[in-house]
Parts: sequence; structure tokens; C-alpha cells
Amino acid sequence: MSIQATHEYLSVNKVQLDKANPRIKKWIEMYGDNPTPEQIHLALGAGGDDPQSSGGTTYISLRESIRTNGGIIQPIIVNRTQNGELTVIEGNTRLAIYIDFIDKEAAGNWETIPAIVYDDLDEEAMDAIRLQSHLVGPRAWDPYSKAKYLHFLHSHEHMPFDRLVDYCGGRKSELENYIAAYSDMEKFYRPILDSDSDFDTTRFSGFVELQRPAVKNAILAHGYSYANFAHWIDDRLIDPLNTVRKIPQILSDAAAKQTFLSEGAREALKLLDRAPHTQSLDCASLFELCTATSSKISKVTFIEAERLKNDPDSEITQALLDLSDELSSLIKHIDPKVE
Amino acid sequence: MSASNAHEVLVREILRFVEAKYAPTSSISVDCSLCTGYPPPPKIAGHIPDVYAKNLTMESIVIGEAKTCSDLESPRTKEQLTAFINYLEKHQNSVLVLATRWSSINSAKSIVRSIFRHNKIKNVSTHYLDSYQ
Repeated sequence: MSIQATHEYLSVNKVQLDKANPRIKKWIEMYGDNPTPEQIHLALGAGGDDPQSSGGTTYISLRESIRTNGGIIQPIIVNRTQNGELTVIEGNTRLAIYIDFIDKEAAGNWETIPAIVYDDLDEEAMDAIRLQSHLVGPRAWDPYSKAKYLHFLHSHEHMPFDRLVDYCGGRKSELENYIAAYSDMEKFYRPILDSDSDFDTTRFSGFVELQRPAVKNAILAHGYSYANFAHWIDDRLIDPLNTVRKIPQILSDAAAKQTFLSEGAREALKLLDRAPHTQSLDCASLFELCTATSSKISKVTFIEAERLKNDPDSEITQALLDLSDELSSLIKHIDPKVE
Repeated sequence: MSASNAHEVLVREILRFVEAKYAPTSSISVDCSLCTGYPPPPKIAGHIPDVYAKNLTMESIVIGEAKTCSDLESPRTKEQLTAFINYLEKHQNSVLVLATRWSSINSAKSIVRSIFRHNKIKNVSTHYLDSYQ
């Protein structure tokens, strides 16, 4: 698209939300003509059951990021019709947050909003903008790059954790783990490589898993160091990386430990004691197990799910995470189009 | 780009490299439906490489394997690369050419390094081709 646009600061009360946006329209039809900013955000798919939004920003983290920053960084995109009406094509939530800040007299200047303004776009051109914004969008950084930048902000720019959380969203403990994982990877993994060109950033999630106290304690308690852990990662003894979670069990079992150190975690796990019912389950076919598991999972109550969420180290949570990893890997193989 | 297209692009890159470097003295075979005119490579311990070149005078072997990012980390890939590397170890001046997307090149190196260590490989050279597509 090569239509000319201008960068302007628009008066917030002169810009209309895009009530023709199919998802906002659907919301208005269901709940009325004056959705709140949070409802607009939900209507646009964030925080709901829309798979496209699963990696998206939550409304609260976006709002707090805008508040902390004193404004938005990415201008909204607006269409100006021939009679001068201004309608948002992309950035409804951000505009709604500005309106909300004005209503609630939040500290800061929320009267004007930066915008890229197009003149008299036709529907096709507006659709092209919506598609590029929502279906293609900017690519998220890989986890290592995120952690590197967070580490820089925290350690070199001395940005406190609370402020990082305001900017990025998420939980403080997650950011702390990311930064600690980055530090550990630089401290223990980089030095064992022959050259920087061997540095495999995809190993980062192994160092994130290392931040679990149970894993760190088990490594030290069995007479190993984090440098040993880095070697295990480099030697691909810890492969896939989610097997880091199983290190405490592996190191506690003599045979599993020996197998782990020679063959890797995948083989070692086969030796670990299984639950007593496993023998009968082993006789079940994959089809039977899949249908039984999905039926069982579909019956998990909200309370139960909350309990699992609040106990990430529980046996069931760990088993579910393992199942999810194995399933994703197999599904990716069966159908590479699945993300 | 679909996974199969991405794989074909990588196989062609290997072929271009092998032809430029080894063609005059080697017989080349390729496992790719779009690269016509080449015989299929031999099966090595149950696995067929994407490109196989045999030097006619020195008996050295070049095996080229293309891996998409999603394929690279699978246990099957490790098994396949281990088979190829062990095979190359038995031939003098042999080379493994591994092609993958640029963002996965260090993962590829790390996988090969671990196979080398685990199997005590000494006589195989490696060459990595990184695709930007």
C-alpha cells in the first residue's frame, strides 16, 4: 500500500472508536453501545479464548505500560473522512485507555494522542491495515533477546523490577527468573564454548528452568555445580530442555543418574520409578490414552485449575507441562502448519 | 513458506555448494523431487541423506542434510545425523554439510558437537550453510 499518511497529534475527544470493527461490533450488539476500555480490549480478542491473542498483552499490562511511559510509543492509525470525521483503524484499545485516563483524571497529558492519519481510505485499504496489524504484526523477540535486554535495563540502567513489570507486564518473579537465567547462561555456558559463534541461544529456556529452587538445590546437593549444568546443556544431555525439571528425580536415583550422565535425560527418565498404576496404563493404546486424557482434562473444574496454577511444582502440574511439551512436539511433526 | 518448500530451498543450497566444490571429481546423488537428473542417494543405516557425493578418486564422501527449524530438535534428526556421522567417520576426508535457517545454525552446530563427543568422532569435517529465507 503506498497511500500518503501524516503523523499528527489528534485531540482524543475528536477521534471515534472503530465501531464498524467486526469484533467491536459483535460486542456492541451483545452488550450495548458504550463499551468500557477493558471491554474494547476483550472484544478485540485479548485475554479471551481467541488463540490469536494467547501470546498477547493483557489489558492491565498495556494500560500500566502506557501510564508509566506517559503515552503510547506506536501511534494509532486513523482514517479521516471527507467530512472530517476521524475513526481509528488500528489502536482502539490504546485510544480507549486514553479516554479512560481523561475520565479518571489520571496524572499526565492524555488530551492528545499520536496518530498516523490517512485521508479518506476505502474499505479495502482499511482492511489491509487491519490485516497487517492483527494477522502479521511485529514479531516478538526470542526469549534470550528479551532476557538480554531486561538484564541490560536492570543491571546497567538500574531500572527497578517494579518499573520493568510496568513496562513489560507479566509477573515480577518471571522477570527475575529471566534476568537470573541470562546471568547464569553468560556466566556458566559461554565460557565453556570454543567461540562465541557456538553460542546457542535456543538453550536459554534450560537456564530459565534452572531457576527453580528444587533444581538448583538438587544440583548442588549431589556435588555438582552450575558449570556442570552448562556442560550437560552443551552436551545435549539435557534434551529436550523441559527435562531440566526432572533433574532432582534423576540425580536422586543411582541408575538414572548414571544413564543421564552417559545417555542423557531422555533415556534416564525411562528408568525412573513410575506410579503404581502405570503397568495397566502401558497396555492401553495411544488412542485410548488420548481420549481418556482429553475427557479427564475437560472435566477439570475452575477451582482445580486455579489450584494447579498456584502450585507450579505440584506433581500434576509438572505432568501436564510434560504432556503439553511432548504433544506440541509430536503435533508439530504431524502438521508443521500448527504453531 | 511451508516446511516442505523451506526444506527444498535448503537442499538446493546444499546442491549448489556441493556442485561448486566437488562436482568435477565426484558423483552426486540427490533426494529432492525438484532436483531432476540426479540418481537417488544410498540408504545409510536406514536413513536417506538429501545429498550424497562420492569422490571418484579419493573415495571420500560428502553428505548434505537440510533441516528446517522445527525439524532440527527432533529425536529423529539426532538419530539420522548420528548415522551419517558414524558412516562418514569410516571414510577418509569426509564432510558433513548441514543447511538450516540462519537463526538455527548454532543449534545445528551444538547438536553435531554433541554427537561428535558422544561417538568420539575425529575424522569428519563439517560445513554449515545458513539460509536467510
